Amino acid sequence: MHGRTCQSASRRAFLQAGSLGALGLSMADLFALRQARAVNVNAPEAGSARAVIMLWLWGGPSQLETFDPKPDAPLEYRGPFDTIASRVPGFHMGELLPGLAQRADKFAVLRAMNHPSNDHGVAGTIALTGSIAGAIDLGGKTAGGALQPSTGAIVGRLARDGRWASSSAPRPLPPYLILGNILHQGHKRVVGEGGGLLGSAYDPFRLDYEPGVGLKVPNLDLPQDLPAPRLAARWGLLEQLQPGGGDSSKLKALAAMDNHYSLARSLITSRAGLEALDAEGEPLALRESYGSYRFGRCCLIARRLVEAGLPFVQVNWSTHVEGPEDAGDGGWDMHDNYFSIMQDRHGWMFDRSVSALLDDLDSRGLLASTLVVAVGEFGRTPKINDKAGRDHWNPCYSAMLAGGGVQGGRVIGSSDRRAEHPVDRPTTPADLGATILAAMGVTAADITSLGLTPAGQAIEELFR
Amino acid sequence: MPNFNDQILNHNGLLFLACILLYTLPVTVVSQEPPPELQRLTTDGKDKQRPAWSPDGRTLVFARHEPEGAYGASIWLYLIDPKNPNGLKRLTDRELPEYHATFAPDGAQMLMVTVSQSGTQGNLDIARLDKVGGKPETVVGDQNGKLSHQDWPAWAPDGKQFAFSSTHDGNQEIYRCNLNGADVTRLTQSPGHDAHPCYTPNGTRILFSTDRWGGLELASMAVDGTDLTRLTQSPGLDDFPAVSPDGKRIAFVSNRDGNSEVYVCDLDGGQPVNLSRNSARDTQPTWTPDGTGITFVSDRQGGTDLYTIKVQ
Repeated sequence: MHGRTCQSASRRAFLQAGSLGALGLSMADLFALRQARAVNVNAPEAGSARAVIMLWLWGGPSQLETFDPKPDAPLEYRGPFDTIASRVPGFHMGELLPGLAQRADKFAVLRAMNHPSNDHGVAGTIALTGSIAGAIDLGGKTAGGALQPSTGAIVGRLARDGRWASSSAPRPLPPYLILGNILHQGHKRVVGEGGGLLGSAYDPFRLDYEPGVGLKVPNLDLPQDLPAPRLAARWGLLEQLQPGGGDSSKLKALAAMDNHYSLARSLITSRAGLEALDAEGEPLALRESYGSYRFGRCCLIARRLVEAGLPFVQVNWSTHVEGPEDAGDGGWDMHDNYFSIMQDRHGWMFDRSVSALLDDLDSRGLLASTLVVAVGEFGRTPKINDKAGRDHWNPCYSAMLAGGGVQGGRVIGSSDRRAEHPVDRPTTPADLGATILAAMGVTAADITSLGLTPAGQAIEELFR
Repeated sequence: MPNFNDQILNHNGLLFLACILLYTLPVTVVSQEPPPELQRLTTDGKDKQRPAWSPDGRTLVFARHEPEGAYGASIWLYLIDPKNPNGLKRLTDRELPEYHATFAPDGAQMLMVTVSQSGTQGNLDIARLDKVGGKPETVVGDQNGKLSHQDWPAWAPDGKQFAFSSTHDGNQEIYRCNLNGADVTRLTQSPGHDAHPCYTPNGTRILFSTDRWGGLELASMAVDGTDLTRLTQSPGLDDFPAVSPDGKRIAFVSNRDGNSEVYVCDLDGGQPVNLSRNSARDTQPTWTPDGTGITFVSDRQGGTDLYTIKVQ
């Protein structure tokens, strides 16, 4: 039995943000917030995007069943699902994504993403930071070099200087927020979501949503012997511990959480934050369009957070790469029984939620200023394995981008007839990161001003 | 041997109350009344898989996803009496995942899929359960030391054998074996994907889904694997076949109209009729034992729940 025990569940329960229903917000407040957002959307910027929603498909979705089907490949490769036409002539997709196929004019696809690792941990770091530096593999070996900041952390860092700020926003909100817990590969934590070289001050603030429970603050870095009752004070946690008192290791661990909780306080005590988090106030039909499962509801919350002014929100599909059949929580790492699980869960859930997100952003006039990215750490083996599954495949996989200046209906790059290797216009996670930053108007000078070295090349064809 | 209904209905009242407290979850608010011909059987909204009725129609078994199992998220089997929908009860006390259970023709036993060791990427076995709360006994596991998964057990009408899908020989095929797991026989020979077998009530044929002709289609074969017959030919997938108790019709899932719906057609051919007709996802149908309804999984009212729709 591993660490996710009744004890940790109890701690999580103590950290639930509590009811958000009694907000005390008037319609005038809400209108003012939205007006403030609208003014800034129209402000001139180097890039047209003012926010990013990163849909992080942890575990690695197959390119063949999503955005790069190969209907003419041998049976052992193409799998049992058909290929369907989309709204864009010549742009075909897997049949499990009929909703997205109807919205293909709203998004672009990169079909030749690749990088050098098929280890979840290493690939996750590469995909989120654009660099292998500091990555930790399944065996615990750490790659050389200093861990780089995630794209979200860079955006969050620049946001602290006032970039993308809403001038009339009541209080600053955490600029880099992840809906989901720290990523894991098996029992090992994965690095790459945080500030890296920029420092832990630029780590993401985390919230999560659990169906039937509601919003909660994930359990992060809590000393294992910290009794749950001491967390009952929630945001006043650190104030209870005076310098020089108590166990120094505990104090150090708790101090590392200080930034996290100060962000939490700013979020929970700000009207904008509260309003943004209260997705229950959305019309039932809209909530149902996103889906009542965790990923769907997190996509809705992400939309609300972006609307409230957050520049970077990441939705983690899962904490673990594995499914519930394999001690995980439903990630995309389906080495076995893949086609049943895709049909029963992942396919329709992804299709429904992302379709709803694109429609919702579009109807609010936010899609043009919000870049939506859906990608995992790699793809899956084109050849079906002997457990009716697909294994890790880093040489070629797909990513989806929408909004934020991206021209819909574009397919950038192509793979060979079995989706095994890029044929043209190969792109990397560093390129994707550069593209996200470029869409947000971040220049190479901005990056170097942070002491970082720009990596990758923005994929310009997405914006032309 | 007592059947599962007797065990459910006769257990100690205190234990029954405890089970309700432990396993009854908050009721999802129903947004709108279902159509008259539709009965909603569960309301918790959690993701569910493969409903299956006891032969007397008094108990329904299904798998439900649990976000906070002892080993992380899990999938567990539950029993419910539709006349007492609050009386949800765990089938076993296992902590590891279990799903895709189905009642024996006489209601005395069940077959189910169990994860024998979590974290093994695909070590799914088929187990037999003799009583509620009992310990499932593995009857089909890995063969010849090679990791494989076994799934979707389907009883033969005589209760002496069952069919299932497995990756014993590489890709997923349909197999048949005796109730004790002996005499495992491979029935299909295709480089593709064969899944979700079910017997006809007279025990002469097995229906299943296959991608040998392109996308997933329905096929039938004699119980020895011969006389393969294609049953559907449509764009998109056709899957999860279930033969009616009188052996005349098939319920199955198809996305031929762009959405996952439950269809019904005659076993000997004819135009399939969309029975569920809803923009939601409707899937994994099973007939009620009296043949007057089809129970299926749907998220038509928000969360994922079980419904029975009447069949003319």
